[in-house]
Amino acid sequence: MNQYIIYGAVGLVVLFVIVYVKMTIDEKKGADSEEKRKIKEIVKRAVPNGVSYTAAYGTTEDFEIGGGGRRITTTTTYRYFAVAFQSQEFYLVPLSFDGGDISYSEPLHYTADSFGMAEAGKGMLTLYDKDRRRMFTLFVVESNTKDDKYHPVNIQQKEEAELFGQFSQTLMQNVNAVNGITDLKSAKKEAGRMK
Amino acid sequence: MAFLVILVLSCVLWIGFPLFHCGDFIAFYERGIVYCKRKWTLEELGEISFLDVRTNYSFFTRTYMRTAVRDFNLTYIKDGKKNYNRAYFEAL
Repeated sequence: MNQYIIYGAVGLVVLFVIVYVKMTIDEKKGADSEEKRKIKEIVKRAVPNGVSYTAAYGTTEDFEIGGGGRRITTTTTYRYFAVAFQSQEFYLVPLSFDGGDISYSEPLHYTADSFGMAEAGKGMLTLYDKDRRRMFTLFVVESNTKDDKYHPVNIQQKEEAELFGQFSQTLMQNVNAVNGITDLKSAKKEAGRMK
Repeated sequence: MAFLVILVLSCVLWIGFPLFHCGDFIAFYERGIVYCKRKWTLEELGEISFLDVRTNYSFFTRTYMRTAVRDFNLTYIKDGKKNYNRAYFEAL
């Protein structure tokens, strides 16, 4: 019995080491990865005057539960973007990953006037329309590793994430000031009641 | 003996099941697509997205191209999404 416990423990340790080593290698790759260079190139090509913007990799993840009775379905929608931001405006360039290619389509342009409410947190920015309905939550985080099919890139972007954090805070203050929001919590509660 | 035969047949069926889809193909053109010999224009298809479906009963994921007309099963088509991206978008 003790033997099996020891084997199990050793197996767990080996698994942990493998996962940790893989994660560390992916993080090192992400510091100056091919994907990071491609994101910057996409911003240069797709965004008007793209070189003047800070380029970063961003994602959104929306989770829904559906179905009923015995059948429950969960749907997670992943969207990937090249994010180009400066002063009080930003572009989102939709990306698609498959088979080593990164494809991109027309960029979406947003300014502080585009929104009715904003909430900035660590590595994330939640934006609401003029009716205070949630539009999307954009994540721009420091560390992105190729964990699975739905996390397809190795990109380490500490500097860009910090700059995006500052940008988000300023955007949040401006959007909420323009829309007369002084208490964000109450405004969100009220918006929830209005649905 | 009968049990063994059933077991072997079941394994062959389970392994060979994808062969039922060996005729599946999709081609992307400037104004539309051809999927298994049927044609649709891009206007008919509307907004296109991709969906991966995995159930609790299977290890495998099925991939669908969702459109306004129907969901096209791309599970057994090599590089379906990749070719879609290359056909209609810029790629690096």
